[in-house]
This record gives sequence, structure tokens and C-alpha cells, in this order.
Amino acid sequence: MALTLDDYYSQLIPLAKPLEVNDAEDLQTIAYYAIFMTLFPDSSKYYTKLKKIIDKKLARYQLQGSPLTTEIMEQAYNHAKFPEDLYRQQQITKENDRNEALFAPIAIELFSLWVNGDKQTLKSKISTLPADYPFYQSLEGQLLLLLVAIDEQQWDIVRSTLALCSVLAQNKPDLFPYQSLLGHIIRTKVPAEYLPWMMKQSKQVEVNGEVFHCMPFMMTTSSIIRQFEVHQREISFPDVKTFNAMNIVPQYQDSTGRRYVSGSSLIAASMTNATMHSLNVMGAAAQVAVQSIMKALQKGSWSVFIGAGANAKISSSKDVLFPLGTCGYIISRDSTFFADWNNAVEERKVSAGKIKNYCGVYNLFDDSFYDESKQGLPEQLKEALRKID
Amino acid sequence: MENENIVSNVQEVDTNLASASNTLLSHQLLSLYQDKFEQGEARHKALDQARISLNQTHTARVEQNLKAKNSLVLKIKLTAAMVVIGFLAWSYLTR
Repeated sequence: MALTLDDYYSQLIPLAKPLEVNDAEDLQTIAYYAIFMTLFPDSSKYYTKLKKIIDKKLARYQLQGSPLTTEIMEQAYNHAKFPEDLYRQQQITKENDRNEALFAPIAIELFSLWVNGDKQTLKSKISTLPADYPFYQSLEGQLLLLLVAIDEQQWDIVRSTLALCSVLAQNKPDLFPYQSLLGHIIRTKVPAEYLPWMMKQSKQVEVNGEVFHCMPFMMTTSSIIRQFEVHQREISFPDVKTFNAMNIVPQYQDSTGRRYVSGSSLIAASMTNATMHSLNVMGAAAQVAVQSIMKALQKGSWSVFIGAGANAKISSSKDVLFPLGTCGYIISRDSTFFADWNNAVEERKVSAGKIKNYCGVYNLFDDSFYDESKQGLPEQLKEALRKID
Repeated sequence: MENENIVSNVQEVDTNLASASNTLLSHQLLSLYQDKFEQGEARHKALDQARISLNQTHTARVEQNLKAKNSLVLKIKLTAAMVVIGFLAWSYLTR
């Protein structure tokens, strides 16, 4: 199903109304709606109505506090007289940064500057952002870089940035950032040949004379956390002793061939940050709503993204729990198995059907097979799938 | 002479490439993000180090305060006990 801007805006109105500016995650979602509207303006009545709602909410936004400095920390510690005071100060100053979600509305102006072509002000605004706003590793920061790179046809940068955006959006509690915000940018602006590995159609890999059909996907963190809740198991991190961010996101390289040394650190930091953040937010939310979630969800039902932000579902065995950060390939021996999904990727749809009875899943995040069929999968297949582009 | 021309042309092409690269906003943003990332890492490191050092310094200080407070409380209690005992003794002796 392809959506028009009119469809988007009419569907966003009921979703935008209950969002609260006082809630950090809601505030971030409001900001993402506003960024979407800045990038894709429309003359329809739905756009005007949504803009009114969003503007009214954002008028109440004010960033509280200031970045933590060593001086502030010293003053706080100096005030402590007894161990209990010190413990209190340690709790207050234990985070180096304020909640990243609270900064998202600041980014709306940056996107407006980009749309208006005011590059000079844009750069100076980015330079003077609060010290504890990690814009450079946030979804909004990477989206801005993505738009600039698309505009300047810097396709190597586009591919790296898209892959990182994909990981960052995967970790958001809402589907909107991946399916709509990132998705619509890709669907309208990025040619298929420049898409990163996770947005492509299935590929064939031959191992020992046997052909495997491997479909790339990103699993939504929200569905992983909910499945852990359904299983009533504490959320655990995958075993990532051998993990390298470059396994998932290609390193930045510009058109002059210059590689950015800290790119890998930046990507690893962004991914860790995004995963931890979503764990905190969604873990808390899931605990509150655990009863309703258990009624609404069944074991073995997972939500994934394929192609340019198409949301699809997979069914696994009931005893399988995919770890946080899961992404990689769903594997089948049947050549027609992914026909529907490949079609959704080809036509850049926003949703696709459900699949089950595959041969297994290869998770790039921890280099492991999950939910293998009785027939099993050869280890050599991992080697072929590890190479990303 | 011909070689000098080639060298000069190559240098000019290099300069043009470099300036074209610098004018691309995407490259400038990448450099800016990298700088910001490094600044952020340095800031986190400085804050973490300050936190460790402040914890050490102030843990000793507040424990000292607590000891002094406890000792003062003990002294007050002892004084109060002695006053009570004194008062009781005086009452007993003067009855």
C-alpha cells in the first residue's frame, strides 16, 4: 500500500492529539511529526489541522536545566555534609547528559533552515547546540546529514547514514520514525542502487551446492521488549563479544575517499545509546502495561522492517526470544518464499504481510542463528552474510 | 619545462578537488559531527574523572563529619546522663 501525503496527515491527527509535551518520549514524537511536516509541506486541510495541533503543543515547550559541568558537580558535592547528602548528590549528578529526547524540538528549526537553504546559519546553529545534546548521533542529526548528502549526491555518505538511521529508528518506541519519517525520505529521494544492505531485496547465497534465499530485515526493539514481557523474562543483552558496529553500518567515506576515523566509534556509541534508551523507556512502559500487553500479544509474533520502511510481521517458534538489536537475514530454501516481501521492497510500500515457517534467522548483531528448522543451517552461510554493503 | 607544467596542473586539480570537497555541506557536516563527537567524549571523560575524584575526596570528608557528629552526640548523651545521675545523686543526698 502506498500512502499519499494526504493519507499521512489525516492518519497523524488522531495520533498527535493525545501526545503530551511534558512526556519526553511524546515530545520527541511531536518533534518528529513537525520535522516531517517541515520536509513535506502540503496544502491540504489535514496538513493545516495537524500543523495547528503540533504548533499549539510546541508553544508550551521549554528546555529546562543546563548541561552538567565539573564546576556544577563540585558545588553540588561541596554542599554535602553527611553520607546521605553525598548519596543524594551522587544520584542527582550521576548522568552526564539530560534526556536526549528533550532536545528534539530544537532540531525542527535546523530542518527549516535546511529547507530554506540557509546553510551558514544552519552550521552555526549546530556548532552552538547544548553540550549535552548528542545531535551528531541522534536520529534527527543523521537525518539532516542524510538529506544534505542526498542533495549533493554523495551516495557513499547516503548509504552509511541510511544504515545508521535505520538502527537509530529501529530503537524508537514508535513506528513513525522508521516507517514514515525515514521511510518517506527514502521512498521519495533515494534511488534503489544506493540503499544499504538492510533495505534491499532478498539475495541468493550458495553453500555446498545448496541455494539459500536470504531476506534482510531490522527487528523493532519495541516488539523484542514486548516479547520478553510476554515470556515474563528479564530483558537480556545479546552476547556481543565479537560485535563490531561495522558489521551493520558501513564506515563513512566521502567522495574524495576520505574515511572518518571516529565514524566507527560514533556509530557504536549511537547504537549503544539508542538501545539503552529504548530499553529504559519501553521497559518502564511495558511494566506498567504488562497485563494489557499480555492480552494483546502472543508468543512468537514479531514486528520487523524491510525495504524502505515497510512494516511486516514474522512468526517464530514460541520458545524463541530474539535479543535486543536483532537485525540480519531471514533464511529460506524456497525460491518463492519472499515473493510478497520482495514486491513490497520493489514497490516501496509501507507495509507487507506476515511470514512463517522459514529455515532460520541469522542475527548480525551477535553473529548467531536463531529459530533454525530441524534441517539446520550451515555455518559457512554466516560468512557469506557477514559481508554488508 | 613540460614536467613542471604537468606538476603545476596536477597541483591545480588537487586544489580544485580539495576546495570542491570543502564547499560540500555534507563533508562539512561530517567533520563538524566528528568534532562534536570528540568534544562529547572528552566532556564525558572529564565528568567521569571529576566524579571519581569528588567521590573519593568527599566520601572521606563526610565520613569525618559523621564521626564528629556521632562523637558530639555521644558527648551530649554522656553529659546529659551525668547531669541526670548528678541530679539523682543530689536529690538522694539532700532528701
